[in-house]
Amino acid sequence: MRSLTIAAKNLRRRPFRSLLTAAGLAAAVAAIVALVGVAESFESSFLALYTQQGTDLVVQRRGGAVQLSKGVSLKLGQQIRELPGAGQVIGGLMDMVAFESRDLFMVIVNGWEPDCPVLDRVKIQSGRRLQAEDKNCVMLGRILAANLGKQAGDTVEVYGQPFHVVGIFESFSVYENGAVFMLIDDLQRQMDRPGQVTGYVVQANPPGDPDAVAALQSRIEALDPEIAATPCAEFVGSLNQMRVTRVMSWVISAVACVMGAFGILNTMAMSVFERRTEIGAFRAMGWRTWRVVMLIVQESLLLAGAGSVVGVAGGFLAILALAHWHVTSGLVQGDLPLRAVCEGIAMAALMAILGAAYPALRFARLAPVEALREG
Amino acid sequence: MNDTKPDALPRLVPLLDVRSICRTYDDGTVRALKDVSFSVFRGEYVAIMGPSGSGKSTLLNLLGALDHPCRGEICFEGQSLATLRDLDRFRARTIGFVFQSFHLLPTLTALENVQIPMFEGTLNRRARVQKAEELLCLVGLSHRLKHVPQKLSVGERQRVAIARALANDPLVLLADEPTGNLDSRAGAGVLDLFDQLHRERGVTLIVITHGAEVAARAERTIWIRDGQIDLLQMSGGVVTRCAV
Repeated sequence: MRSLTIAAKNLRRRPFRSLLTAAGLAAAVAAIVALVGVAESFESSFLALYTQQGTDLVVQRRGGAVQLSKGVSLKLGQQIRELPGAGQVIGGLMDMVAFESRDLFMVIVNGWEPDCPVLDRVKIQSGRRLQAEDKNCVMLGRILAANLGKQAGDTVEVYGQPFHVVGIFESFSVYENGAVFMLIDDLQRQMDRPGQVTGYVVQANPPGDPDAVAALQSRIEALDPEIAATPCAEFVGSLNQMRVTRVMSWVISAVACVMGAFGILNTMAMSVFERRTEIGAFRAMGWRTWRVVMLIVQESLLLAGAGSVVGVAGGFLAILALAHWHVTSGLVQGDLPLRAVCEGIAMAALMAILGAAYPALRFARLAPVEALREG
Repeated sequence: MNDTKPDALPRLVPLLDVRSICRTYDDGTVRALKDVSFSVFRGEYVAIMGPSGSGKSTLLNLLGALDHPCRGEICFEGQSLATLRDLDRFRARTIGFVFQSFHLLPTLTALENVQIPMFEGTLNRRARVQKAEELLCLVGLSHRLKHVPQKLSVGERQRVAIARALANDPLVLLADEPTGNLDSRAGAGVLDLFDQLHRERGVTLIVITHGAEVAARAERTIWIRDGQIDLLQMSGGVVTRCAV
């Protein structure tokens, strides 16, 4: 018999209470996994959007976040293309719109040049790609089309005006699958930003070479002091939306952790209080204080383990639900990042140790004769 | 001292030497024990009797190194317990406790309950199981190894507790009202077991009891009243009055 066997069997003495405590922990872990998972997935998907097409630098006006209200000139794109060490340069205009009748908010609208490689990269599921001669035409991402109930050939209202849906596409990115693509001229007109793009994604030549990227970054920034050329990972990490999501997920996770710790503290305190005579007997038999403390912590960790298993599964189900809910399906991927699982389990272990610490240490100060007498 | 085998020291060297101990509570207002002195020799079977509140349990706690006297000292094989740095280790290797209410873990089997004190010993997991089996056989419970306490009679539970007390081969078995929760038949069975352990294994037994039938089996009875030793009675009937 191992001491873990004693701990496990002790939990079976009050199965309903153990179950409730594990359920509380599972809820906390599920919240952590879902929130951290969504935040992590949000960030990694956004980063993948750039890295999977070989982007090395994101060029925007200085300011650190997506500058939807500011733009840079289309002429800048040509200047960048002419720089030594510059590879592919893609300019795009971006905006956010809402389809309130469908409860869809923060839908991304991208405006691309007719010859933009992005329009060739996405896979056309039905209809066709946008052409240079198209006016008031859009392509819809697969998820958005499903959420709007639109097909190629239908009309969709964007900015209060009818747009002809020429095609439905699928991308590797959940954001593009939830987005509207239109030609840049149409979007500039809708946003009243003639001759401007939100920014450029730039590939160095040779792509990914750190020295080439650094040199190109300097050359681009030398073109205009108000322009920042930022490496992809740094750009994604600096986005306000990412920061807010990260902070929010951590704040809510911390609250969940505190609540979970109180739950387990309550259970362990009651458990130790009920068994103080028995634990006094253990001490009389020569069990050292640390062994008793370890037994209590092991019980707590077992509860946390059970809570973690159920919580990770619950968190994953929550992520899947968000990925399939029409309101969030264009923003959330249905994957479970390893980091979210690790953080959920680590937080559960922390809750277990914090929750067990007080009753364990309190008992550690109690002499065995006192414990036996109190019984 | 723990390496000393039962036969290595002569019978007349006190195993436990209690020297003028006092124990008070509540800042000295309650005097549980007053100037108590006696010795227990290796292999002896001693009963401690007295009315409720006489100080028997306090004395047992002090003998078992669970508590400290306010004055005086208790020596084990000549060494004062007050000088021992690791009382947990001392208790684990030297003392076996048998409690009135058994203190068995209800979710553990008899075999598992007996192994609890062995965690402080040196045996590995397999050896612990083997020894627990042997001890349960010794107390006549070889057919109850996998039973949880709830499936055992109260007499059997106390036998499991006795097997557990023997887990680390203690030099002294301290029993606090071991038959207090048992019917007469089960109580007699436990006392027979004590007799057997004393006779065959040379276990030193100190038993706190209210029952005259328990005291009758001991070689010596120490009567306590109002925190003082009142009488010392040998099994042959020799009585020494110590205090009134």
